[in-house]
Amino acid sequence: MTDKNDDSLIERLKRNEKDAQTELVKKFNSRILLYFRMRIKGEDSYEDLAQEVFASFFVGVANDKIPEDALIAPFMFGIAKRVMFNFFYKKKRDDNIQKKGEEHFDLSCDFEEEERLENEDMNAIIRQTMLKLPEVDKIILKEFYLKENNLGEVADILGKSKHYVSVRKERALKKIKNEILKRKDLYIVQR
Amino acid sequence: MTMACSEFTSLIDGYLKGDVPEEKSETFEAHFFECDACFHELKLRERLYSKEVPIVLKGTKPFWAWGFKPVLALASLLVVVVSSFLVIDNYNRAKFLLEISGVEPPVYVQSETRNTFQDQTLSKAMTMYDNRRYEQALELLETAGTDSAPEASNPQIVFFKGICRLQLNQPKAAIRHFDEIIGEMNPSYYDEAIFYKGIALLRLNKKDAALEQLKNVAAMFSPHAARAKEIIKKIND
Repeated sequence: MTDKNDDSLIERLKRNEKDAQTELVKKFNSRILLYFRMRIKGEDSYEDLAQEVFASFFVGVANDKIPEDALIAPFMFGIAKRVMFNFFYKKKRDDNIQKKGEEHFDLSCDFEEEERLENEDMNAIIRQTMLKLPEVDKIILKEFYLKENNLGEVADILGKSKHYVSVRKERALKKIKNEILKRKDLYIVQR
Repeated sequence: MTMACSEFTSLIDGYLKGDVPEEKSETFEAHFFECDACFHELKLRERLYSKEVPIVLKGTKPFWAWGFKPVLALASLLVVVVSSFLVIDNYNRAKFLLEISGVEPPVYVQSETRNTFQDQTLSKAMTMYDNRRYEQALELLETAGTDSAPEASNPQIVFFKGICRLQLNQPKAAIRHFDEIIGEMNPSYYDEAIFYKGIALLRLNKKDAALEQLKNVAAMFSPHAARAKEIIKKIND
């Protein structure tokens, strides 16, 4: 998998272009925050951790640690993993590890606010698309996601088979996802 | 190790619930860092789990919010038309039964009974009855019935109370009086009580029950038999 935009993005980052930083943050901020949310439970904020990931990446780019033809995503994921391990290590040892590169890059971006806005956009699209779904699909999504019933329980509620519920759920999600992909291309970078 | 998009999709719900084993989790996470479409699907489901997006089901809408549905409108029209025919038919049938139930009340001949009934109240009541003042007659008959115990169960009082009720268009109450006589099988007013019960039932639009009573009378050796047969014929025609 080659990201056509990655080469130029890394080059632009090397030139310290503000737009390139914003583009990178836009693409990976949400993924990084979701990753931390799933991996580190019970934290109030993942802002510092996200900042650390981006700062590390920019330091890497600035120090030519990331080749120009490299894929950004695996690097980002690798850094996020390391930051997470460091977080647990710090927590265990109560050790303050210095954040490298903070002085070189102005990352005053409010990562969580960015994600909140992004989520609001997505919520609006989901809400609108949901109105067009058949009632049975809405019931399935409501029972599965909002009430957190499993497929078997939803099937029992509807008096249908588990397979029927599973197929309808996936179809409904696909409809919503297609709508999101159609209307929300602002942070999708073509692969 | 990479993961196919189809496998990723199948693991999303489990990942968000924390049910995906560690060895799969890492490959899963690496995949969503790379794949935009899969990440959007993951985000979508995370949004649904977040409960920030309410899923509103259609409730029972008021009728003005139904919107125009041609099939529903046509069905409603059909129901209205059929119901109208049924109502009209029912009305005509009831009207017809009421018409044929409009028989004359039995004539009370004072001279025949005056000697039998010593009670002045009863005498007055029957005078009222003769003058077709059924309300006053009924009032006096009620008093006569309670004042003198022997007359209370007097079949004549009971029967004429029934007739008064019938004339006052109270067929249900009339039937109660007639049933009292029929139940006691008092020969004096037995066939008359059945006949007028049939008439009261016609007024209540209970054709079958009325026919049953009238047929009983028609089969009897009774002065009302001919009239009963006549009404039966009208109903059957």
